Amino acid sequence: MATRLTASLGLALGLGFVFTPFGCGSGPIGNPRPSHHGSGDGPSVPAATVSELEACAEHGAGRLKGTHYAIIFDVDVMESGEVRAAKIRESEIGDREIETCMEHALQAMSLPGVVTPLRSSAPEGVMLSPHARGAMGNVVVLGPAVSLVPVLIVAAGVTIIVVVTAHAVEETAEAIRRRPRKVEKLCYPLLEECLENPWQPEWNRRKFGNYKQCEACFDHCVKKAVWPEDKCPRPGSRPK
Amino acid sequence: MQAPDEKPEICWSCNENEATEPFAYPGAPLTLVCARCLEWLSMRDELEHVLGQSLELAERGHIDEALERLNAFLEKSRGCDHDRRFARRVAHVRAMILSDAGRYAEAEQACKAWAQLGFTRVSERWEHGFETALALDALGRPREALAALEDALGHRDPYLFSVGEKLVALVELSEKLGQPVDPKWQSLAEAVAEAYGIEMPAHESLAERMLALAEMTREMLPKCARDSENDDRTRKPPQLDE
Ligand SMILES: [Zn+2]
Repeated sequence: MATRLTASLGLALGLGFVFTPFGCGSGPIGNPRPSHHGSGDGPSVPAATVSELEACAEHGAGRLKGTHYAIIFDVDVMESGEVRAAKIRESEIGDREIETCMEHALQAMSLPGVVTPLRSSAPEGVMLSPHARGAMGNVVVLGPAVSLVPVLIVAAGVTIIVVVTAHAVEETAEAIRRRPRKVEKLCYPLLEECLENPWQPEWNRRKFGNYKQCEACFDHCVKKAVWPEDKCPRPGSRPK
Repeated sequence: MQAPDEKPEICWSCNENEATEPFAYPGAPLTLVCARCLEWLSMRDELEHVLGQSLELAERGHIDEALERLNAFLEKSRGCDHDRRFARRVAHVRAMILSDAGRYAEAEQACKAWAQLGFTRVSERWEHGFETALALDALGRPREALAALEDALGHRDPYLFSVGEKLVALVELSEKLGQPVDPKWQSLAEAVAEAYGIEMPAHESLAERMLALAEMTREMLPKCARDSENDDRTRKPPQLDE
């Protein structure tokens, strides 16, 4: 069963795969580093990561009903080669365990040398790139993406094409300044609410004093992603 | 059991209905609230949980799942979200998620739907203006982006939380359009310096002053939100509504 995504990937990426058959005695241990072929030679997923992707497939392939799948990842790479984030852009697999396993494998990889060429061609000061605020935290997405040589995995009769696109990101003070973490955005309304209802309920005064320490509660909210209702109980619902 | 001559307990949450349902904050003694408030308080807790979950899903790339989570909550809470405050919080997070996912056209639509709900706080307007500006700029419409941002900043937020990102956006959008930051925003820069208790940076242009303010306030809360400033509690909470 070749689905729309696998079919279109097969066409678009006819430039060659890192082909990694799995099973039938060709497991990851002792498997030679996958070689590139065709005209698609370029930056590729490191061998150790390919092995991890294979392991992900091996553990879950038995659950899959079809024979051909494709999954596309976007990874954000720092100048050092460190991967800051890996996110699934599109997936046909539909098996959370395999997908998450692959995501983790890609997140743990290092891609030194992949980012530098991107930077030289990056436009100056990419403005307000909201991509940069997300999973990537305080980074600025710098420039055009580079497609790594796709990885083809065959496990238990199932073929999975793993396509990875690397995006260069740079951590800058400016980026940090621009984009407070999103969890802060969730905490600010609660801070406002606290400041406008600063008195502790009577039952809380012996323990926490007469007034709520809203700043301390906000800090807690930002760090733990939950408002501490014991220290700063939220007010009730006033009928309109 | 309530004695016949005893007055019924009134719900502390709404101060209106008879309190019949047990409710407790974590670690707090049990209290009684009315049935309407119990439902509302539980839904409010669930909202925070759902928002956090959705952001986490979105950060892991499961954008549609994150949005579905928000939709499911909206559906569930519709009956008790009388002042639409849950819907407005959801609208904000939806816009952020779509924008972060690069789905700017949808983010723009989400911002429009958000505006339809109305704003009860200036900070909501600011966030809305900022998210709208992000989406429009990404869609190649910087002039509209600047207009949306300036429209929001025209309402003076008494808190000025995370003001740096708005100042930077104002500067960058103006630059992108080849124009200086409108001098009318000098008063905003002054308000920021005052609110955060810092000296106005001594740069020549307003744009530079704004960028410097953004940098200086990055890790700060305004004075009105600092526990150390609120010890005596003589300060009144800022003006709430526009
Ligand atoms: Zn009530």
